[in-house]
Amino acid sequence: MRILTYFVFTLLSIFIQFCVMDFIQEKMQIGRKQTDLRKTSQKVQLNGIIQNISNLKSHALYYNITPSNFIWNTAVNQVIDLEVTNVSIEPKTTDNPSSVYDFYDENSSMTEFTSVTAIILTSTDIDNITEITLFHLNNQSSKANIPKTNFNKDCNCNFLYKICDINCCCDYDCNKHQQKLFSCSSNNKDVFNKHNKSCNYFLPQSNIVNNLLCIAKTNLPDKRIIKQEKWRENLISSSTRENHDSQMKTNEFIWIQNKGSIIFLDIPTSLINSYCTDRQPVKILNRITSICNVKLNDLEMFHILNIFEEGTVASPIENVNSTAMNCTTLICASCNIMACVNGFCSTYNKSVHEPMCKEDLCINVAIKIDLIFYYNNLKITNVTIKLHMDNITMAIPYVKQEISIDFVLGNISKENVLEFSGSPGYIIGRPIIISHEAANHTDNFYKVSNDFYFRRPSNKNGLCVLNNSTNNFILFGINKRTKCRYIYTKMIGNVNYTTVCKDIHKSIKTVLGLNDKIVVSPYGNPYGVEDNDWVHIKNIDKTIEATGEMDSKTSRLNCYNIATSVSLVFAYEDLGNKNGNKILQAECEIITQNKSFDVDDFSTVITIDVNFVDLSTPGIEEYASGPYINIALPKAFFYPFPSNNSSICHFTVVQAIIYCTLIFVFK
Amino acid sequence: MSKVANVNSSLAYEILLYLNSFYLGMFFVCEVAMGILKAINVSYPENALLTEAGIFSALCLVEVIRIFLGRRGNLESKRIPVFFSVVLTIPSAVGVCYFLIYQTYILRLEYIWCAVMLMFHALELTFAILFVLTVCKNQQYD
Repeated sequence: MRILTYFVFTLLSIFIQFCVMDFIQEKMQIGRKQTDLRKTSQKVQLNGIIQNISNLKSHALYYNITPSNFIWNTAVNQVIDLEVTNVSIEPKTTDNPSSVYDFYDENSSMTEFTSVTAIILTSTDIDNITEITLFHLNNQSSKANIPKTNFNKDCNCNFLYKICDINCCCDYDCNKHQQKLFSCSSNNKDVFNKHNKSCNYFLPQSNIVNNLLCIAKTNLPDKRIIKQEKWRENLISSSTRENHDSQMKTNEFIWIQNKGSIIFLDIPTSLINSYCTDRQPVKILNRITSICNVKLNDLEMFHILNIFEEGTVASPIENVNSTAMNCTTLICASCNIMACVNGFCSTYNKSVHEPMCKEDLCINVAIKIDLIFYYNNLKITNVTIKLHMDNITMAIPYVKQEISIDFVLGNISKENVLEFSGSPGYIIGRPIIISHEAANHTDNFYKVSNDFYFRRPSNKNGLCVLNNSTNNFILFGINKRTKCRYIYTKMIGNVNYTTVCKDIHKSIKTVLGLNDKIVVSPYGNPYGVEDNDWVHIKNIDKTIEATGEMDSKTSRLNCYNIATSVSLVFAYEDLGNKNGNKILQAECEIITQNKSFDVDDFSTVITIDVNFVDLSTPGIEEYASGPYINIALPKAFFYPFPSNNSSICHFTVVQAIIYCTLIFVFK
Repeated sequence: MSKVANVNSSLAYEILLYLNSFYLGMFFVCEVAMGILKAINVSYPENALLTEAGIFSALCLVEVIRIFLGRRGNLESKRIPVFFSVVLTIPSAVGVCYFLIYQTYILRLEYIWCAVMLMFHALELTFAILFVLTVCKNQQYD
């Protein structure tokens, strides 16, 4: 009885194991006969291409195109020979040679044979193609490798768009003649090559462990799902603003009106690795610089040219009564596309600057793109796109693409540009807007002057330097302490020493930018802000009079109550919901000290502190401590054998091994 | 000397659980390593990586409980823990099937070790059911 039971158990184990092994085998396609590709007449070219590709550095995702993974049966191989050598393939069905380097495409996870077919098909044409275009304008010898949208979903071998895939009986792109060559019968039309799957992608270390790290299957969505912002909702939210209903808001989307439809502008960006696998929306006043690796024919310049050659930037409007999406009902901005070669920019001319590839070199390819949006208070007035043209070789499968987005406040002249520090509230890291005028602060901001941003001296080689450099701007939300040495350069003669000390004190205040009366804009966009709403800096003039005397014993000038440090404190609140931050209060505290100067060296170290205090959040935030979870595996988890010897089972590891060995032998 | 007349299925069950406890450790380490490798090398759709990490954590937790209950019940000859271990086999097998079929990127290696894990589940389920059915029977001695 016992032997019989063990036998049944063993049979059951073997049965289950075989089922599992069958499943694995089905997935791995072990035992399929592999075809010798050297039989084809295209041996030399194909091997050369494969050799080139295999020599390339491994990338994150790339199709398996090593010869060992070409799975064809003998009959099919004969068909290939016939197809390639005797049957003329129409030029329009050939693929772009660059598709040989078509290594990654996360959205086309089912296209494991794409590159294989492309190699076979194009192997006869590679030498003949002398000119192709990346922009699909000169399509006499190339065709875009677009993933199919209308295809038989049950067909697993149908990969190329409007191209007959070799040996694929269920590909609707194949005509009867081709299907005849493929030896397709009515029975196997839909299931032919059903399991003829090889590895989609390899992780880079795949060679080490004999292809076990091959990604055998992917379950990626067809397209990456990006939360789609709706134009109408955006308009409604724009039109229901309370205080700044006519202004653009920070972080609003840039909308492109193109052929009656409205889309938001986005640029490619990297998600996890350095490849352009994601897209990031462009938002108002958000400067972005995106650098990522991209395939040659996926360069963003093509997308941008496509959009902006016929599209315009549509700005939000207040009254949304009309449903028509065109420039008669929307505020549209013109677009200037510039082609820049070696730093010199000229208007983009399609006939001159069109990108194209000749032999191994692609010319007029923009791997650096600058998008500059000019705006006023209400809308985007102009878009300048600078395509920095360069020549690159096609031997490089990936290029590093750089796209930068900038926003500037367009004045009458585009050369003299201002920029908001937010809209309506301040964005962190943007300069603080001030006015020295007695009245009409907002109007004066729009007059191009040098003093509309709050400045403080910076340290350059230890000395205090105050100029219009961006290093000198006080940036919103950034606390900073600056220490530098101020040198009083005026000559002193036989004057009153108190007057000298007062002049030193005044000079220091001038360097600190505190001599004039200053008012601060509460918002990053001063448009519509009344004079009364501008924030006056408190305590800026509350300093004690400086006095001085000459010490006759030491020949040193002693100055009393000289300004040596200043502390600027800005209190602000977060307006929330894309509105930025509002400055509520600004306070200046000038700290004076008594200083003794050598008659040959009137210099002193001054300190500038800038602090920002958020009044909308508590000063100190206390966080609850994390829960303490006492989880531990019981000691008896791995060795739970009871110490009591009277147990029914006396079982040791050695017995377990013997038992397993017996089962294995039985199998 | 007494001799057990009928076969005690707990022996095979114990062997499987014992081996499975070690295999689970190996499975956990290897799957985490593969997850890191995939996260570095391939791009995941939004939240897919977090979802898979969560499912994997839950799977490991369920597996630990399942094995622990199975071994405790088996060694103490109690039916209830083994019964719960059998119940936990279902979510555990579902979790393994997720990694075998539905996860974003499936490696060949994962096919193998998920299949082995499923094999463990199938065998343990069989022996656990046999154990539950036979544990109440009186032991007969010669």
